[in-house]
Amino acid sequence: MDRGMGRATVRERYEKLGLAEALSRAHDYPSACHELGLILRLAYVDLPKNLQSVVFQDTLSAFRLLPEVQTGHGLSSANVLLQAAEVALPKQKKALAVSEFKHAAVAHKRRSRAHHDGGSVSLPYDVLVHIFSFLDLRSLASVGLVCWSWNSAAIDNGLWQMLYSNLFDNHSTCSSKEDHKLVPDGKDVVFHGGMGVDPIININWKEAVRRKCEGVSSWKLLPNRVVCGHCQSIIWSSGITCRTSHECSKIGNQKLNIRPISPYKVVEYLLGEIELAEMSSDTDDSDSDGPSPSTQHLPRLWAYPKLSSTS
Amino acid sequence: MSESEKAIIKPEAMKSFIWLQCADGSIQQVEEEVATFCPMIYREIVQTGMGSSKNYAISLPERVNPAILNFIFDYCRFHQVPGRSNRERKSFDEKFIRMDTKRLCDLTSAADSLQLKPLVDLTSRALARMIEGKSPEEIRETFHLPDDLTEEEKLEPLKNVNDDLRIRLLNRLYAKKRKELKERQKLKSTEADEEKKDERSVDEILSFINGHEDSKGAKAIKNKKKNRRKKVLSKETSRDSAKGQRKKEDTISPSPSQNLEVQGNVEDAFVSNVEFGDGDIDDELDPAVKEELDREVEDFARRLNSDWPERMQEILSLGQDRRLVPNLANSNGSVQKFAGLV
Repeated sequence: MDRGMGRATVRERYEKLGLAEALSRAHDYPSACHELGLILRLAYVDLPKNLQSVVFQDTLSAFRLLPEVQTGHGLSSANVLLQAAEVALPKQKKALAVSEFKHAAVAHKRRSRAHHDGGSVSLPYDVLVHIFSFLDLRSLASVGLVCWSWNSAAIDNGLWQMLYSNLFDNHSTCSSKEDHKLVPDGKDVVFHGGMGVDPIININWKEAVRRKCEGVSSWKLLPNRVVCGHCQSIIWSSGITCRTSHECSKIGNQKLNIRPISPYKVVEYLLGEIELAEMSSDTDDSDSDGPSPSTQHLPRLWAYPKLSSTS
Repeated sequence: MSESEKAIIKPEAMKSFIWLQCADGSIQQVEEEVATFCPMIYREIVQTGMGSSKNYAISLPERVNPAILNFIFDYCRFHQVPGRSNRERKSFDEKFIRMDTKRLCDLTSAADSLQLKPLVDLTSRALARMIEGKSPEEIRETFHLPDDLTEEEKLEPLKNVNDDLRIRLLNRLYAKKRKELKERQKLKSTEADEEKKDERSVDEILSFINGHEDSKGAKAIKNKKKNRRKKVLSKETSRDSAKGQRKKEDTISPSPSQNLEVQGNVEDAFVSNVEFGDGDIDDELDPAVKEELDREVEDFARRLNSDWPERMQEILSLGQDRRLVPNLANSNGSVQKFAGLV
């Protein structure tokens, strides 16, 4: 079977995924571990020898970087990766990986103990909003759950407007006053009548983002990866923050086309089984995710998915 | 670098100094070019002509304290020298922000009040990097923030600006009690026993309350007993979900015993960190303030009890509608965020 005899080889696609760099960023560490685990489980046997050793080295470095990642999510992702490694790797490599993990787990625990700072902090509203402007969708949603003062800063309309324009629509959010087309949904709009002047339209941007995510179930799962429809590249969703948008070389004047992509699809892309351009509509993603629609939620609920069919 | 060193050694050299006064009254002097790097100080000098002598020191905003001021001046002193390369500046910045969280936050708000935009950006980015990827509980630990949102507020965006101190305090109390009960449960459930009956949990709460709240006086105890039923209900749901979580966790890591150990240890570390964090919150309030607040809490609770049935209905129906996705272990905190977004 001709795998990867197309324009890009498996090796190139793997490098494009950028897993090694992602592991060194604490934010993307868990997502990268999950992807690596899936690659081990589903694709490892089909990879050429030299790429197998690259994947193995990345697995080892994931464990080595574990002590730096002091979050519960990070530790559990490393566990997931370990289990995938135990299933997929041959004996010697498996032993190396397991021992590396053990050392890392000990170091991780040691570091988490040594972590006690002084008292509490109280940051003013403006400063909080400024800090949150560096966050991506998932982080912005979670800071709103921390405490009352952070919540009131996290629902700042300006932040969500920037996020909306970077994720969904970069055109109409610019001229907010005159352009009536930009009203996403009548429910989000609050009208202010004022002293005989034209009514000012205030859009609740957080609701707008929420509505967009509710419409398509794959956004709802808060994906780790998204695809840019114009330049056909897979990017980390954490790379799109309120301030930084995806800098697409091929977008020209068109509307943004950023779609979520599930980890399974990422593995399929790696093996050359799908082309990114073929994923035309969002509904395709949600239907064909994983073994069956009901197990679509499984990757989020369980540490590893139950594979009913293996290739 | 050597020039500014000389200036420090020989104050009678050509450099002029600016006098600054912090909110606590302490007065400091610093080289003019360092001080004028801050837009706010520069404007004060230009517009009002102050700062040239000790009596006419420029008063700084209250967010700036003397310790932080030294940090800011270190930053200014380095960056105001024009002849530095970008790489030098970058590596200075990276070393500069290696400090503990509290100081970083203080630095951010001080820099913001002095309108020192590059430092604000630098520290904000550092803080954002700390926040990314953490669950809300972890963020609370890192920054020592209180858990003072009600369950319904966590599920819905806040529409009213309703900052009632009593609501915040009551929620903090609930959150703390909930947490403590959860921890007890975790210790007990390692023996893997069945679900306990209602009566036992009530007794636990009673003895716990009576055991620890003696210092606060009888009124407070009575007050909390009134709210006991409400707490039991909320604890019920959190306990059930916690039990559900554990079952899933157990099936996830069946065989390798070291994994269980590691997870268990992580939970322990978590628990001990959490306890430490809670201790901080209590110590902030001194006893007089505490009593005052207790009285207010009691008033509020009395008010609450009068329309308690309706409010309970509201909360329960909200809880049933929104809890479509099961509440998961904090190791996979993404669902919490999901619940917040929806």
